[in-house]
Amino acid sequence: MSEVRLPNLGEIDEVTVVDWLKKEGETLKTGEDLLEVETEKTTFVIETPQTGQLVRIVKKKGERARLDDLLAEIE
Amino acid sequence: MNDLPSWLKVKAPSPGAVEGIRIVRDILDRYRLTTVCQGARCPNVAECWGAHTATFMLLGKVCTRACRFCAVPTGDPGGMVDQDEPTRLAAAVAELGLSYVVLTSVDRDDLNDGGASLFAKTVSKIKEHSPTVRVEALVPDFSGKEEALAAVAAAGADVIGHNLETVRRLTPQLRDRRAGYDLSLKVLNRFRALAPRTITKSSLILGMGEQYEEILTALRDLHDVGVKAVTLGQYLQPIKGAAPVARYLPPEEFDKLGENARELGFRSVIAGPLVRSSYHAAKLFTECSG
Repeated sequence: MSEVRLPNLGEIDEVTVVDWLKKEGETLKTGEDLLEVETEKTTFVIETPQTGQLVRIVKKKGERARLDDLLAEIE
Repeated sequence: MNDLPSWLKVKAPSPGAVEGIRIVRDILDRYRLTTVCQGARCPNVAECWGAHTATFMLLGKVCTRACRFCAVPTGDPGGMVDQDEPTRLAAAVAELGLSYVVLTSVDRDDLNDGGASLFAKTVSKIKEHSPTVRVEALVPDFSGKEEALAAVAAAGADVIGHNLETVRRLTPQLRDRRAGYDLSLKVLNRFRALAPRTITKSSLILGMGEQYEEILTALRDLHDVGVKAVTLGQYLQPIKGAAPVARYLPPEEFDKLGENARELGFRSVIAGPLVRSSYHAAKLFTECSG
């Protein structure tokens, strides 16, 4: 099991999860777009860090997340 | 959620860029320095810091003015100046290995010279410490005071920038009452006269309610006072309570405005939704001096 955590986006305190581009149960490939989060000024696309299956989305669409917060789990 | 248009979407930073962010943060903390990148909640922090570059903000974190598009806190710094800041900043520039540095500051109406002498001292210290480094001084209007403008002009910066920010009609609504459209043009014109070999640069933030023709007029006005380089970017509301975004200009409109600016005679133009006044500043300098 590996964890997808909110990476350092550059001095950003908090983001909102805008959209998950993959569903729970889907197979993921490293580098594929996984989710979008936004600040007041920008939308960041976060890529899949490793190949595997998206087993659990922890931060749902509309939820807030801070640096290093757990976003999802991949197996 | 903000419902931002698709062209304001960027990739999260790569692991290499994240390491760059960590290195810059460490140096800023160690030398007790501030950047405008944080103050303005800039969307390009990851890109710039990832490449080990930053725009340093002198003279504290509190601005005496209150422009409606800015997130930097307003207050009264009470005449406090950190006289050691130029030395620390010069050391940080050397440690970061920068070849091009942008310096800016908060407005300091509480100081007689508006902070111009500290600006000048910082430019000199950087040049003394790292003689090959190019320095861009992005300065406030210093209330148009001649001695302040002369001090900055004589400091040896390679580029002097002063931002017009918006079109004439919107200036009284959006900029602090002590700022002014004509004052900014006068400041740029004085820098042309006081430092004729130095490139002058300015910037407009778009999407705050201006019309296309008004942008072209502002560009003509900047060109008429000798400005050689201009940046055009999208206004993005930095905090709730700041002026709202009136419109998101599509990238094609920025391209067209960029073309118009070049036709007017600017030597270097960067226009795009995520462009900020110091974005790709080294590239602009190279284009201007080439």
